[in-house]
Amino acid sequence: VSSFFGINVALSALKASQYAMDVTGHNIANANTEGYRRQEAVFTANSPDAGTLGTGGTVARLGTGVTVSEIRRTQTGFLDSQVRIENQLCGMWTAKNEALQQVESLLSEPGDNGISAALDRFWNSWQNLATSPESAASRTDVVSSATSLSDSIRNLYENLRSLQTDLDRNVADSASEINALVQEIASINNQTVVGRSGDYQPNDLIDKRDLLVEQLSRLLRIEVHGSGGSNMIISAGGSVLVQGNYSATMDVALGSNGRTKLVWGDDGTDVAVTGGEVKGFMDTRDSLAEGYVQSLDRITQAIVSRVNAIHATGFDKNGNPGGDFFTAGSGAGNISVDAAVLASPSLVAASSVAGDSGNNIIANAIADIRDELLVDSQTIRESYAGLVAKIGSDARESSVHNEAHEYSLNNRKTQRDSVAGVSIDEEMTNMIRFQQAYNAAARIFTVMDEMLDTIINSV
Amino acid sequence: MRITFNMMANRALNNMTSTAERLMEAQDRVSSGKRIRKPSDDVNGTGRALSLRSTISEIEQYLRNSDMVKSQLEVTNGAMDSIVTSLERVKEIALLAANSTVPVEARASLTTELGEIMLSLAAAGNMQYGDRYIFGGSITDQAPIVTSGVTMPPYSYAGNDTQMSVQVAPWTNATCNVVGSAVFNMNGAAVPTSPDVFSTIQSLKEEIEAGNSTAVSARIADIDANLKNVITIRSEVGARASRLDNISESLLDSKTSLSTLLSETEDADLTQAVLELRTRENVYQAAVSVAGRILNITLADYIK
Repeated sequence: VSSFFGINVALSALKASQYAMDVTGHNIANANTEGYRRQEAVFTANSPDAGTLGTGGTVARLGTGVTVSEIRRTQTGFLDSQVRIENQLCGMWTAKNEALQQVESLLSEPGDNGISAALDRFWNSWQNLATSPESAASRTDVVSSATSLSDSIRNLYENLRSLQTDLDRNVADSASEINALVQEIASINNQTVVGRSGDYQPNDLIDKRDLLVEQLSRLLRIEVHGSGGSNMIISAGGSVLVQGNYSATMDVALGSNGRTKLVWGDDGTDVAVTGGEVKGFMDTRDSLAEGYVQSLDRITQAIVSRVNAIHATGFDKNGNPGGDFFTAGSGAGNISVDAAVLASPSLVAASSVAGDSGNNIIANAIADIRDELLVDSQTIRESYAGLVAKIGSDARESSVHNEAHEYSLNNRKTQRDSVAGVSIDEEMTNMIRFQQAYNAAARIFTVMDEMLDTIINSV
Repeated sequence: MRITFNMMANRALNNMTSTAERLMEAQDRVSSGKRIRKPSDDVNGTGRALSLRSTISEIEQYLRNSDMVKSQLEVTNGAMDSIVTSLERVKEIALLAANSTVPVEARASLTTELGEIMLSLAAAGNMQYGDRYIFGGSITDQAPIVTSGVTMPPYSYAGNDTQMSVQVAPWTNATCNVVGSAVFNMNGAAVPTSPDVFSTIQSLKEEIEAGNSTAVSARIADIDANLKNVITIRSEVGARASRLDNISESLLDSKTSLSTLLSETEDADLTQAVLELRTRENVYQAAVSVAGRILNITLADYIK
């Protein structure tokens, strides 16, 4: 054993402590970095020296100090996949919830400004006309209440349609976001392969990649296979999105319903979207909003055709047969009072007999449409209330799910943070620990020096 | 469990956000006074509110309809009163003239009066409510009682027999007019045994002028029959008006109770809402102050 053996041991301890202190510093520096996983310097005792000390069968070997063998990144694989699952659910329900809240505010129900109130006023105006069929004011009232009913229906229709267009845009935006993320993930995969072969632990690159994967999981339901290293495979809807340094691309295309959909860049087949924000956008657009538009359209068509049918059997103030009251064949998108009637309310046909100025039979009959079962064995009012209830319960459902998944996403993240986040208290403790270790090692150094001094100067 | 600084920070942030959200909800409820501000607040409640609002608006229209019918019936009743009075006077004149001793001059003044009565009956028959001739059936824009241009019958009826009705309660219609042909027996259906009111008076006038007291006595039966018809119709009008009053009253009652129900469904209970607001304010304050306290402390503060 060399006389300077001890100094080398002390040196290794000094180096290791300093190394560990650097890791601690790195941890503290990244305490608030998103996606950062705590790192830890792993101390390993050096291989003992080969020399023999002692006699007989017992060979004592001296330890040769310590090295930092690895800077270990805290593993959170299972929690990561849990976070990804919740993330895509959260993304889907948040997208739905935001859109549905918008729809709800468009309805302004229950209230005095919704379609429901406009319908009530419309039927009432016909009854009012029935009480004074001669009056020009009552006719004008009928026309203006019909105009405001048409306006509120068209308004809701337009707003639902433009919501769908907004969602189209969101889908397209998501596609470019997905493409960017996927490319970056593949490129990091590539770097980690190079890094590994150069005996380099790419902890921070892996953190960065995992964060990108997590962001991707909010947009799309993805499955992550492989150990999470360079051999990572990410798939969506059964197709490979990322494999090692390969990344697929997504394009947007028009679906058969005229709405934006996602297709694979290489062969143009549809991307099977099964979760995430994109799914939320698409579901809201294609089943919820579209369903509302269809119901509204059916209700409107029922009103238009029934009112027109009865109106045509009557006679106007001038004794002429009644024409169309609403523009014939119009639906929720284009309902309006017939231009001729709008221009001259005397064309409103209240009478069942030509020239009978006081005859109110048609006005009464139109007012009675209120109680007719016109849409799916329901009155117009019930059918519209059904639409409002549907929107309300959809919004309720999405907000309940959204809240629940956000809560559980937060829980998962907290759990992960508990395992892999940086605890300042812990780092401070480590700091003191490594400082003391360093001090102690330095002390050994001094003592060794003194010992050598004794030998050298005393001889 | 290992607790990191970020966990505490996130937890504190989440707690503050969610309590702030709940605080805002409570604030909204208090300031808007509404329990249901959008359908998802209470889906069933929204359905109930929509239906109640509709029903209330319908009832309000029924009440307006009732008022309209009632005013028309009042005008009708006034006209009927004057018709009854006129016919009673005709009967008096007939009774006077039936006495064979009436001198010629007196007969002349009686016939003059009969002529005037006929004019006032025609005027009552052409009574208007607003612009509407109330005795013309569904032809309301022209006078129903028009001079015929011949001596007998002196007046003809230009209206029709259509009874107009409007809805005054759910599934309940009220007839708003009385047709002049029935009042004046101009269709012959109201009093089949007698000629119409105007022809009766015209005949009476001619008989008095001729001094035919026997014929005058015989005419009294026609006058009675017509008078009885008019009185019957008048009492029908009165009955209709009081039925409308009953209907309106019960509608008003249901409107009140439905409005209460609507308010219970839609509106926030203010006491409860304010109490809730207070509680949530306190919770929010607690969340904020706890966050402020906890997030300040780490071991670093105590290391020299």
